Amino acid sequence: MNPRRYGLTTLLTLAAVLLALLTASACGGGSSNSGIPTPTLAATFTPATNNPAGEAVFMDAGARSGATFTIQVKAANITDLFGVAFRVIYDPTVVEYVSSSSGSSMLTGGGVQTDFSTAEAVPGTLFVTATRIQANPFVPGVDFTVPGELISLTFRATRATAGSSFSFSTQQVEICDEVSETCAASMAPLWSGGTLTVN
Amino acid sequence: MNTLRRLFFLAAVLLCGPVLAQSVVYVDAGNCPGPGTGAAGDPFCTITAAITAAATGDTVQVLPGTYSECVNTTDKGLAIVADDTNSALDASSFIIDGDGSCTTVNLGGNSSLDGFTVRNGGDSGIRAFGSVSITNNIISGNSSPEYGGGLYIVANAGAGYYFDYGDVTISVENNSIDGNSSTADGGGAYLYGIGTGNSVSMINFNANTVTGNSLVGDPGFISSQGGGISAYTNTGVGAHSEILISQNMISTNTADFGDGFSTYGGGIFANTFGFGSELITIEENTLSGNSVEGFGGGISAWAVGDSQVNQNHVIVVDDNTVTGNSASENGGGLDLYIEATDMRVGRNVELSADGNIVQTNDAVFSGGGIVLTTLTDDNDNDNNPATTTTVTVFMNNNLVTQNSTDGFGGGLDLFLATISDTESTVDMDYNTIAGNTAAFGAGGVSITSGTEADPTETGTVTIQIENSIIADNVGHGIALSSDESEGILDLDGIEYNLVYGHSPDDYDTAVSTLADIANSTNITADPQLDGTWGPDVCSPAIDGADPADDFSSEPEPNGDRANLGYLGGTSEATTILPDTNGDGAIDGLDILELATAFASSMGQTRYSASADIDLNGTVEGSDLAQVAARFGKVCP
Repeated sequence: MNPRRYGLTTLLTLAAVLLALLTASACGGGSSNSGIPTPTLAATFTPATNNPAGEAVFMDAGARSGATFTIQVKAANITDLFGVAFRVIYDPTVVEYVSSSSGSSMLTGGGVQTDFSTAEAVPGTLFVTATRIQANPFVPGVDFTVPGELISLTFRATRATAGSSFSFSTQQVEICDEVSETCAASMAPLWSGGTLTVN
Repeated sequence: MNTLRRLFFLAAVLLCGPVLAQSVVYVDAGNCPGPGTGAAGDPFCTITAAITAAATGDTVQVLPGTYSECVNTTDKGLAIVADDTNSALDASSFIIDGDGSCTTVNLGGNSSLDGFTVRNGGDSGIRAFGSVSITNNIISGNSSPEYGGGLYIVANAGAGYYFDYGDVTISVENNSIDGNSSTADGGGAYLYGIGTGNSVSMINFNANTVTGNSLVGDPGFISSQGGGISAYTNTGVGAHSEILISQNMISTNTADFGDGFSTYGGGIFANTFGFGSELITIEENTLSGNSVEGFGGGISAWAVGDSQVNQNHVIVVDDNTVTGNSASENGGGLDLYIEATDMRVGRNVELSADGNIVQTNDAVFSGGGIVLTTLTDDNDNDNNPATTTTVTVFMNNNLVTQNSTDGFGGGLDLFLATISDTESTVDMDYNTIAGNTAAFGAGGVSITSGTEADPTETGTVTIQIENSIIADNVGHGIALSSDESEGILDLDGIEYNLVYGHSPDDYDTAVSTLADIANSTNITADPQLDGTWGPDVCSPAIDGADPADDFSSEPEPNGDRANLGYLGGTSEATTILPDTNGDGAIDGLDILELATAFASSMGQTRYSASADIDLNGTVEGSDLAQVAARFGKVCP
């Protein structure tokens, strides 16, 4: 644009319009392309307990950001824990499964082989495994004297809810005793889930 | 070197003496007008001059250039080779150009041709009669007023037809045979295995590309088959002939007899019709986009035994991929024909077609994928079982999908005829016939049979269709093409199949009656086929085969029973769900069982047989991998 062909007033008006557009996009405001505001979801996971007294596998709240939240599956007060298997049951109309992480799991370390597997078999049912893998010489379990993470699961809320439950099913804890070099399913510990609130 | 070794060395030198005497004669078109001496520094100007000067067993080494001549090695047994000094050059730099009327290269016995472009032959590009080797050539743009536009190959064993070459072996390998034409058999190549006495003739036609050749028939010739390749064996009593056609790419060839006559084999035509022992094997070829005005858009294979001498004729059509071919009459992909007349003790005619993939072919009249015709004729009218002619056709582990016809038999059309007291059996095991379309009758398998009206003769046709998946074809799954078939057909061999998803019915009324389908072992259920037309791990086709059948080739875990369909009973069969605890789901409990038993072997305390998925006695990574691959799978 040649300023000598368009007057100063025209240029100032154009600059004001551009500034207004830039300001609007930078400040967000939940405006969609169609101009209809998109609701911003805020998800909060509340565990049934985060400090169980006895042997337990439980869900604890991890990081969250808007609609995305993480559930830390932890164990507490279990000796020689070698691995866990369970299914997480949730409402697929409220949340969708995103990913898993084993980065902080106490089952890793010591150079042992591990397996962390997740698969959404059907909507609302997530199959999960977090376990060490046996070898020769014998691989012992891990003592969870205080709550420690087994695996983290990240979900994303898709609509608001006042309270949607997360629970375990088809669960098992495997104990491998270093002295006897044997493994066996644990007597049932407490399995504790939680509730999701999405605003 | 000790004395004994010295003696062996001396003997070897003496034995190798004649080899050392062979020499190389050089040819270079760049040395024209020559004439040259044939030495490396003064090569001949023409290949013909080199052949004239060469002695039996010599090599004629040809430098790059275009040689406009008609070459004939006569019976000297020469190796005609393109100079390979410059590895950047290929056959396109070494051109032998006929004059449009002669045979560009005539190869006599014990000769070879390696690395040339052979073109512009007016009486075939290459003709060969004795033991020859034809490798790495481009054979293009030749024609023949009769047989074999590109190649005319006669494996002439024994005395008689042309010369006495003794036992003969011909190798045709790694050639490109394209754009040739003929007016009789073999637009691209004509292969003829003959022999007399106790001779043996072999033709190996392997790893060639056969593309865009055409047979435009002249009704003046009685035989005009095979747009790409035409292969015959025709031996005398006591002689043996074999033709092996394997691992070739055969595409966009055409065959048309003309004047409304039927032609056979757009891609390949094969026929055994002599008096001795004959075998034609067509295996592991890829045929696509070929067409025929007649039968067998991809392959037409005929096993014929019709004399009272001690014949043994076998045609094998195995492991070919046949897609997108068309026939104006029957058999869009394959036309299989077996004819047995008066097959008494000591005579044998066999036809088998196993492991083929036949997809997206089209036929106008019948058999979009495959048409199989059997004709048995006892020719004696004695109604004597001792002289009964008996033949069996085997068709196993074929995948036949997405073929179509404007007539009947979208996947397969079986046309079975018996005359007098003969017996023919069609044994079809472990096939998958799915997604085919027919305008009439059966979209899956159509059966037609016929016999002569003489009530004193008792010809029968037995159909065994077992362990197969016949699903989602347009039309019936299995149907008789007419009620005339009743009375001579034995359909009790329709067992352990999964037949599903057809409209109006999976079986037409006649089949249901003759085969007693209602009380049989056949099932009707969604086969849950995957992208390769194999059954999903949860499919009812898993472990659905006849319990008496061998399952040992299926990988573990195989459930100790073979699967249905074209992969059933093979090493490629779908494994059963690696479910250690048998709860129908592959979840963490299965992983835990493996994890705790890992790295243990049978006999150890930690070993778990249910965690040893492949049952090899050790719980190891391969077991874990199988479970991990299915993790999250739930079979209802």
